[in-house]
Amino acid sequence: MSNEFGYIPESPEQSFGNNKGIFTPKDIYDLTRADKYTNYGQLELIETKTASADSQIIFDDIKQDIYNVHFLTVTNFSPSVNQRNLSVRFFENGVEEAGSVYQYAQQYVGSNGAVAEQKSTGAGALRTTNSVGDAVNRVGNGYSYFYNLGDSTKYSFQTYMNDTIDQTNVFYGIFGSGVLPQASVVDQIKLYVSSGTFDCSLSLYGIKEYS
Amino acid sequence: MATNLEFIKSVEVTSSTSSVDIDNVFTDKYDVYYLSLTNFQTVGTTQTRIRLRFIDSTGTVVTGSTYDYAYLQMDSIRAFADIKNTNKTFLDYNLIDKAPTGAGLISYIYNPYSASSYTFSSWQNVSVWQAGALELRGTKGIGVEKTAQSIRGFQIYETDTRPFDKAKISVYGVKG
Repeated sequence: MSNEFGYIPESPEQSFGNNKGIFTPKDIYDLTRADKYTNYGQLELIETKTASADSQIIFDDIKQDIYNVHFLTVTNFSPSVNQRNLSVRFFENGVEEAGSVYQYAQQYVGSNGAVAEQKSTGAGALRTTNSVGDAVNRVGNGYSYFYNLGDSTKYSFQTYMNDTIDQTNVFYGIFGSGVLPQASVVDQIKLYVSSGTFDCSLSLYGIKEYS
Repeated sequence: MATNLEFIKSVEVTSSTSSVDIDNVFTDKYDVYYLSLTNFQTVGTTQTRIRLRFIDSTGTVVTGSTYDYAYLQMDSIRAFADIKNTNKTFLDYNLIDKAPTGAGLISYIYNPYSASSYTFSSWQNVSVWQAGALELRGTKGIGVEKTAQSIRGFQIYETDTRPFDKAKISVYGVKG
């Protein structure tokens, strides 16, 4: 790759948000690869997956070496079995962590006035969407942020918010956080239900950072 | 083609400090900003709280008793707690601990640059800390700085004399 970009007046220093000069297509290509070309749009889609009567969906190329923060959207989660969560497990260097090692804490608020805290220090999974009914139009939607998945020196964290409708037509809003308290590289994310199957759309994004 | 997050600035902490200023990031280009705070860790072995204060249009940190906030604190062992305060000198953002914990926080800042409105914040964060058993702590909160003034940046700091030596703070504009 050339070290010279922009030729007015002569090869000025280039960085994101501070490009100067006139660029050839090759300059733009090389600068983009070097993360030095200003190109806005830092919420970058990694992959969208659609579940249709699946028991699990695995994102197996999450680009954890590029993104320190991931963003996951869950749209129209619909389980085949009543009151199922859409759960999350991480893979560490290709191996699924299925032990009772996850911690979470969440608050839910129901349209019937119910308010409760739920928590665990020995869960077998994290959550993205909670306890959705299996009748028609009972769906859950939500989002999660994941932090430090690719950092072998840090724990892997999650914050999330979602809404659900249960079998009796009570609407719930839920927000919470979770952690896999193990310093490791997480390279895959699994979404699954504990029994039956589910339908939904899942989109995983990376939030681009720069030095 | 721009999408709805546009990178503005990133600051990385690589040595011991008790405060870091992220200045000249709020402009008239956006009304809403997205902040990402990751990888915080304390120098010592005792946890500390990290807080946020704004920087006004002259570059001065806003240290008056003009901040209100409220959040739900959700722990994986102890009972949840409602925390709320008025007329404080900061927004209470997060609890951090020693390595290898790290932490994650996202926050939205609303109307900072407008001189005719207050500056609002909402946030959600997660960390772990240890005072006995290792425990998850998450919070979901809201806050406001109650002065109609133009804000151009912010400061992240701690006051427990337990500095942090690792952190990454990134600021994005949310494209309207």
